[in-house]
Amino acid sequence: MNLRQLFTVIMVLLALCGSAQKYMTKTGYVYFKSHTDAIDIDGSNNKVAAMFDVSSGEIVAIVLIKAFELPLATADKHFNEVYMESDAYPKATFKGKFVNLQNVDINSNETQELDVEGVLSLHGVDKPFVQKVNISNNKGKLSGTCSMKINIDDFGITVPENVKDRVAKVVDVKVELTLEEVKK
Amino acid sequence: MKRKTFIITAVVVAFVLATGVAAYMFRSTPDCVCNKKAEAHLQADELLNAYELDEQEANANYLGKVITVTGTVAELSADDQGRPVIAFSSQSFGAVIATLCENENINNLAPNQTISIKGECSGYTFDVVLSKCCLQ
Repeated sequence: MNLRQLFTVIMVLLALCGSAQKYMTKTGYVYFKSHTDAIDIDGSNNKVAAMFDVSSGEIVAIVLIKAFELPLATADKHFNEVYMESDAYPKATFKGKFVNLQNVDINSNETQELDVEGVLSLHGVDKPFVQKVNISNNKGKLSGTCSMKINIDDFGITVPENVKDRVAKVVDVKVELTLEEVKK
Repeated sequence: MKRKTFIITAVVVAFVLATGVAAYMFRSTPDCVCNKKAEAHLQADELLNAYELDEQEANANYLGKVITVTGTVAELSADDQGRPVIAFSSQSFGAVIATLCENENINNLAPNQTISIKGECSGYTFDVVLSKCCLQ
Protein backbone atom coordinates (compact mmCIF):
# COMPACT_ATOMS: atom_id res chain seq x y z
CA MET A 1 0.00 0.00 0.00
CA ASN A 2 1.58 3.29 -1.04
CA LEU A 3 1.21 6.60 0.81
CA ARG A 4 -1.60 7.86 -1.35
CA GLN A 5 -3.66 4.71 -0.82
CA LEU A 6 -2.91 4.80 2.91
CA PHE A 7 -4.12 8.41 3.03
CA THR A 8 -7.35 7.43 1.28
CA VAL A 9 -7.97 4.58 3.72
CA ILE A 10 -7.25 6.85 6.70
CA MET A 11 -9.62 9.49 5.32
CA VAL A 12 -12.38 6.89 4.98
CA LEU A 13 -11.76 5.45 8.46
CA LEU A 14 -11.66 8.90 10.05
CA ALA A 15 -14.85 9.82 8.29
CA LEU A 16 -16.55 6.65 9.51
CA CYS A 17 -15.22 6.55 13.06
CA GLY A 18 -15.92 10.14 14.03
CA SER A 19 -19.14 11.25 15.62
CA ALA A 20 -20.02 14.00 13.15
CA GLN A 21 -22.45 13.91 10.27
CA LYS A 22 -21.11 12.24 7.13
CA TYR A 23 -22.53 11.84 3.67
CA MET A 24 -21.43 9.51 0.92
CA THR A 25 -22.20 8.15 -2.52
CA LYS A 26 -20.93 5.31 -4.66
CA THR A 27 -22.91 6.31 -7.74
CA GLY A 28 -21.72 9.82 -8.49
CA TYR A 29 -21.61 10.99 -12.09
CA VAL A 30 -18.81 12.61 -14.05
CA TYR A 31 -18.94 13.62 -17.70
CA PHE A 32 -16.24 15.00 -19.96
CA LYS A 33 -16.25 16.43 -23.46
CA SER A 34 -13.32 17.16 -25.71
CA HIS A 35 -14.44 19.54 -28.46
CA THR A 36 -12.43 20.14 -31.61
CA ASP A 37 -13.39 21.17 -35.13
CA ALA A 38 -12.60 17.63 -36.27
CA ILE A 39 -14.56 15.64 -33.70
CA ASP A 40 -16.25 15.76 -30.30
CA ILE A 41 -15.22 12.99 -27.92
CA ASP A 42 -17.16 12.48 -24.72
CA GLY A 43 -17.53 9.93 -21.97
CA SER A 44 -19.23 9.41 -18.64
CA ASN A 45 -18.83 7.44 -15.44
CA ASN A 46 -21.65 6.81 -12.96
CA LYS A 47 -19.57 4.98 -10.35
CA VAL A 48 -17.87 7.90 -8.63
CA ALA A 49 -17.37 7.34 -4.89
CA ALA A 50 -17.30 10.31 -2.55
CA MET A 51 -17.47 11.02 1.16
CA PHE A 52 -18.13 14.35 2.87
CA ASP A 53 -17.61 15.15 6.55
CA VAL A 54 -19.89 18.02 7.54
CA SER A 55 -18.02 18.98 10.72
CA SER A 56 -14.61 19.33 9.11
CA GLY A 57 -15.81 20.24 5.62
CA GLU A 58 -13.49 17.62 4.16
CA ILE A 59 -14.43 15.76 1.02
CA VAL A 60 -12.77 12.92 -0.85
CA ALA A 61 -13.89 11.73 -4.28
CA ILE A 62 -12.56 8.75 -6.25
CA VAL A 63 -13.07 8.21 -9.98
CA LEU A 64 -12.09 4.93 -11.64
CA ILE A 65 -10.73 5.64 -15.11
CA LYS A 66 -11.72 2.23 -16.48
CA ALA A 67 -15.30 2.88 -15.39
CA PHE A 68 -15.67 5.64 -18.01
CA GLU A 69 -17.86 4.72 -20.94
CA LEU A 70 -17.18 6.35 -24.30
CA PRO A 71 -19.72 5.86 -27.11
CA LEU A 72 -16.94 5.65 -29.70
CA ALA A 73 -15.16 2.29 -29.46
CA THR A 74 -11.89 3.55 -30.85
CA ALA A 75 -11.99 6.61 -28.58
CA ASP A 76 -12.60 4.31 -25.58
CA LYS A 77 -9.51 2.29 -26.46
CA HIS A 78 -7.34 5.37 -26.99
CA PHE A 79 -8.70 7.02 -23.84
CA ASN A 80 -7.58 4.09 -21.68
CA GLU A 81 -4.43 3.01 -23.47
CA VAL A 82 -2.92 6.20 -24.88
CA TYR A 83 -4.18 9.28 -23.00
CA MET A 84 -5.17 8.22 -19.47
CA GLU A 85 -2.97 5.09 -19.33
CA SER A 86 -5.51 3.52 -17.00
CA ASP A 87 -3.43 0.43 -16.26
CA ALA A 88 -0.71 2.63 -14.75
CA TYR A 89 -3.05 5.29 -13.30
CA PRO A 90 -6.33 3.49 -12.55
CA LYS A 91 -8.01 6.27 -10.58
CA ALA A 92 -8.34 10.02 -10.24
CA THR A 93 -8.91 11.43 -6.77
CA PHE A 94 -9.84 14.74 -5.25
CA LYS A 95 -9.12 15.39 -1.57
CA GLY A 96 -10.08 18.76 -0.26
CA LYS A 97 -12.15 20.94 1.98
CA PHE A 98 -15.03 23.39 1.69
CA VAL A 99 -13.59 26.71 2.82
CA ASN A 100 -16.78 28.66 3.53
CA LEU A 101 -19.02 25.88 4.83
CA GLN A 102 -19.96 27.93 7.90
CA ASN A 103 -21.62 30.50 5.62
CA VAL A 104 -24.23 28.10 4.25
CA ASP A 105 -27.03 25.97 5.62
CA ILE A 106 -26.52 22.47 4.26
CA ASN A 107 -30.08 21.55 5.24
CA SER A 108 -31.52 24.16 2.91
CA ASN A 109 -33.11 23.04 -0.33
CA GLU A 110 -31.98 26.31 -1.91
CA THR A 111 -28.98 26.04 -4.23
CA GLN A 112 -25.94 27.59 -2.58
CA GLU A 113 -22.45 28.18 -3.91
CA LEU A 114 -19.43 26.93 -2.01
CA ASP A 115 -15.69 27.03 -2.62
CA VAL A 116 -13.76 23.81 -2.35
CA GLU A 117 -9.98 23.65 -2.42
CA GLY A 118 -7.66 20.71 -2.32
CA VAL A 119 -5.54 18.47 -4.50
CA LEU A 120 -6.67 16.82 -7.71
CA SER A 121 -4.66 13.71 -8.60
CA LEU A 122 -4.99 12.67 -12.21
CA HIS A 123 -2.73 10.62 -14.46
CA GLY A 124 -0.16 10.40 -11.65
CA VAL A 125 0.09 14.20 -11.26
CA ASP A 126 -1.06 16.05 -8.12
CA LYS A 127 -2.25 19.64 -8.65
CA PRO A 128 -3.70 22.17 -6.21
CA PHE A 129 -7.30 22.71 -7.21
CA VAL A 130 -9.90 25.34 -6.35
CA GLN A 131 -13.47 25.00 -7.56
CA LYS A 132 -16.91 26.50 -7.04
CA VAL A 133 -19.57 23.89 -6.20
CA ASN A 134 -23.35 24.32 -6.09
CA ILE A 135 -24.97 22.36 -3.27
CA SER A 136 -28.56 21.81 -2.23
CA ASN A 137 -30.38 19.49 0.13
CA ASN A 138 -33.24 17.47 -1.30
CA LYS A 139 -35.09 15.53 1.42
CA GLY A 140 -31.91 14.75 3.31
CA LYS A 141 -29.79 14.00 0.25
CA LEU A 142 -27.00 16.47 -0.46
CA SER A 143 -26.52 17.30 -4.13
CA GLY A 144 -23.29 18.83 -5.33
CA THR A 145 -22.64 19.90 -8.91
CA CYS A 146 -19.77 21.67 -10.58
CA SER A 147 -18.36 22.32 -14.02
CA MET A 148 -14.68 22.77 -14.68
CA LYS A 149 -12.11 22.90 -17.41
CA ILE A 150 -9.12 20.57 -17.27
CA ASN A 151 -6.00 21.40 -19.26
CA ILE A 152 -4.54 18.02 -20.20
CA ASP A 153 -1.01 19.50 -20.31
CA ASP A 154 -1.27 20.22 -16.56
CA PHE A 155 -1.58 16.50 -15.91
CA GLY A 156 1.07 15.23 -18.30
CA ILE A 157 -1.47 13.77 -20.73
CA THR A 158 0.11 13.67 -24.15
CA VAL A 159 -1.58 13.23 -27.50
CA PRO A 160 0.19 11.62 -30.47
CA GLU A 161 1.12 14.12 -33.21
CA ASN A 162 -1.12 12.47 -35.84
CA VAL A 163 -4.33 13.00 -33.80
CA LYS A 164 -3.50 16.33 -32.14
CA ASP A 165 -6.24 18.11 -34.06
CA ARG A 166 -8.80 15.64 -32.70
CA VAL A 167 -8.21 16.01 -28.96
CA ALA A 168 -8.83 19.29 -27.15
CA LYS A 169 -6.12 20.74 -24.92
CA VAL A 170 -8.81 21.90 -22.53
CA VAL A 171 -11.52 19.38 -21.68
CA ASP A 172 -14.90 20.32 -20.20
CA VAL A 173 -15.81 18.26 -17.13
CA LYS A 174 -19.10 18.15 -15.24
CA VAL A 175 -19.54 16.43 -11.87
CA GLU A 176 -22.84 15.57 -10.16
CA LEU A 177 -22.85 13.93 -6.74
CA THR A 178 -25.89 13.01 -4.66
CA LEU A 179 -24.68 12.05 -1.21
CA GLU A 180 -26.75 10.25 1.41
CA GLU A 181 -26.18 10.46 5.13
CA VAL A 182 -24.13 7.58 6.51
CA LYS A 183 -26.27 5.79 9.08
CA LYS A 184 -24.47 4.73 12.21
CA MET B 1 -21.88 -8.18 -67.98
CA LYS B 2 -19.43 -10.04 -65.75
CA ARG B 3 -17.61 -6.79 -65.02
CA LYS B 4 -20.89 -5.08 -64.07
CA THR B 5 -21.80 -7.96 -61.71
CA PHE B 6 -18.36 -7.77 -60.12
CA ILE B 7 -18.65 -4.04 -59.52
CA ILE B 8 -22.13 -4.37 -57.99
CA THR B 9 -20.94 -7.22 -55.74
CA ALA B 10 -17.88 -5.21 -54.66
CA VAL B 11 -20.02 -2.17 -53.84
CA VAL B 12 -22.47 -4.30 -51.80
CA VAL B 13 -19.62 -6.01 -49.91
CA ALA B 14 -17.93 -2.66 -49.23
CA PHE B 15 -21.23 -1.21 -47.99
CA VAL B 16 -21.85 -4.16 -45.64
CA LEU B 17 -18.29 -3.97 -44.30
CA ALA B 18 -18.48 -0.20 -43.81
CA THR B 19 -21.82 -0.55 -42.00
CA GLY B 20 -20.36 -3.21 -39.70
CA VAL B 21 -17.28 -1.17 -38.89
CA ALA B 22 -19.38 1.96 -38.29
CA ALA B 23 -21.80 0.02 -36.06
CA TYR B 24 -18.86 -1.17 -33.95
CA MET B 25 -17.11 2.20 -33.78
CA PHE B 26 -20.26 4.11 -32.92
CA ARG B 27 -21.78 1.55 -30.58
CA SER B 28 -23.75 3.14 -27.77
CA THR B 29 -23.34 0.51 -25.10
CA PRO B 30 -20.17 -1.05 -23.72
CA ASP B 31 -19.19 -4.52 -24.85
CA CYS B 32 -20.32 -7.21 -22.45
CA VAL B 33 -17.84 -9.85 -21.43
CA CYS B 34 -20.27 -12.79 -21.85
CA ASN B 35 -18.23 -14.37 -24.62
CA LYS B 36 -14.82 -13.62 -23.16
CA LYS B 37 -12.81 -16.16 -21.20
CA ALA B 38 -12.31 -15.40 -17.53
CA GLU B 39 -8.69 -15.07 -16.41
CA ALA B 40 -9.44 -15.80 -12.75
CA HIS B 41 -12.19 -17.30 -10.59
CA LEU B 42 -12.66 -15.86 -7.10
CA GLN B 43 -15.05 -15.63 -4.19
CA ALA B 44 -16.35 -12.08 -3.66
CA ASP B 45 -14.75 -11.92 -0.19
CA GLU B 46 -11.45 -13.11 -1.64
CA LEU B 47 -11.46 -10.34 -4.26
CA LEU B 48 -12.41 -7.65 -1.74
CA ASN B 49 -9.75 -8.84 0.72
CA ALA B 50 -7.12 -8.75 -2.01
CA TYR B 51 -7.93 -5.08 -2.70
CA GLU B 52 -8.19 -4.09 0.96
CA LEU B 53 -4.81 -5.68 1.72
CA ASP B 54 -2.79 -4.41 -1.24
CA GLU B 55 -4.56 -2.38 -3.91
CA GLN B 56 -1.49 -2.13 -6.12
CA GLU B 57 -0.94 -5.87 -6.21
CA ALA B 58 -4.66 -6.54 -6.69
CA ASN B 59 -4.68 -4.11 -9.61
CA ALA B 60 -1.71 -5.94 -11.12
CA ASN B 61 -3.67 -9.19 -10.88
CA TYR B 62 -7.21 -8.12 -11.78
CA LEU B 63 -7.51 -4.55 -13.16
CA GLY B 64 -9.02 -4.54 -16.63
CA LYS B 65 -9.23 -8.32 -16.66
CA VAL B 66 -12.28 -10.51 -17.08
CA ILE B 67 -12.89 -12.49 -13.88
CA THR B 68 -15.59 -14.75 -12.49
CA VAL B 69 -16.82 -13.88 -9.01
CA THR B 70 -19.01 -16.03 -6.78
CA GLY B 71 -20.76 -14.70 -3.70
CA THR B 72 -23.97 -14.06 -1.83
CA VAL B 73 -26.31 -11.34 -3.08
CA ALA B 74 -26.73 -8.53 -0.54
CA GLU B 75 -28.68 -6.03 -2.60
CA LEU B 76 -30.19 -5.72 -6.06
CA SER B 77 -30.69 -2.33 -7.69
CA ALA B 78 -30.30 -0.51 -11.00
CA ASP B 79 -28.00 2.26 -12.13
CA ASP B 80 -29.16 5.56 -13.67
CA GLN B 81 -29.31 3.90 -17.09
CA GLY B 82 -31.49 1.05 -15.86
CA ARG B 83 -28.74 -1.55 -15.86
CA PRO B 84 -28.96 -4.16 -13.06
CA VAL B 85 -26.50 -3.74 -10.19
CA ILE B 86 -25.63 -6.50 -7.73
CA ALA B 87 -23.91 -5.80 -4.40
CA PHE B 88 -22.33 -8.89 -2.88
CA SER B 89 -22.42 -9.51 0.86
CA SER B 90 -19.25 -8.67 2.75
CA GLN B 91 -17.96 -8.47 6.31
CA SER B 92 -16.30 -5.09 5.86
CA PHE B 93 -17.30 -1.53 4.90
CA GLY B 94 -16.65 -2.13 1.21
CA ALA B 95 -18.21 -4.71 -1.08
CA VAL B 96 -17.94 -6.12 -4.58
CA ILE B 97 -20.38 -4.20 -6.79
CA ALA B 98 -21.21 -5.59 -10.23
CA THR B 99 -23.00 -3.65 -12.96
CA LEU B 100 -24.60 -6.03 -15.43
CA CYS B 101 -25.23 -5.48 -19.12
CA GLU B 102 -28.65 -4.04 -19.79
CA ASN B 103 -30.05 -7.23 -21.34
CA GLU B 104 -29.23 -9.33 -18.26
CA ASN B 105 -32.31 -10.39 -16.30
CA ILE B 106 -32.15 -10.37 -12.49
CA ASN B 107 -35.86 -10.92 -11.88
CA ASN B 108 -35.20 -14.41 -10.55
CA LEU B 109 -32.48 -13.28 -8.15
CA ALA B 110 -33.01 -12.46 -4.49
CA PRO B 111 -30.87 -11.38 -1.53
CA ASN B 112 -28.99 -14.22 0.22
CA GLN B 113 -28.84 -16.23 -3.02
CA THR B 114 -25.40 -17.49 -4.06
CA ILE B 115 -24.56 -16.56 -7.64
CA SER B 116 -21.63 -16.27 -10.02
CA ILE B 117 -21.04 -13.44 -12.43
CA LYS B 118 -18.40 -12.74 -15.05
CA GLY B 119 -17.23 -9.16 -15.43
CA GLU B 120 -14.35 -6.78 -16.06
CA CYS B 121 -12.61 -5.36 -13.01
CA SER B 122 -12.63 -1.52 -13.12
CA GLY B 123 -10.71 -1.07 -9.85
CA TYR B 124 -11.30 -0.10 -6.24
CA THR B 125 -12.90 2.94 -4.63
CA PHE B 126 -14.48 2.02 -1.30
CA ASP B 127 -15.71 -1.07 -3.21
CA VAL B 128 -14.33 -3.35 -5.89
CA VAL B 129 -16.16 -2.30 -9.06
CA LEU B 130 -16.98 -4.80 -11.81
CA SER B 131 -18.40 -3.65 -15.14
CA LYS B 132 -19.93 -5.19 -18.29
CA CYS B 133 -21.03 -8.21 -16.24
CA CYS B 134 -23.03 -11.29 -17.20
CA LEU B 135 -24.69 -13.85 -14.95
CA GLN B 136 -23.11 -17.31 -15.09
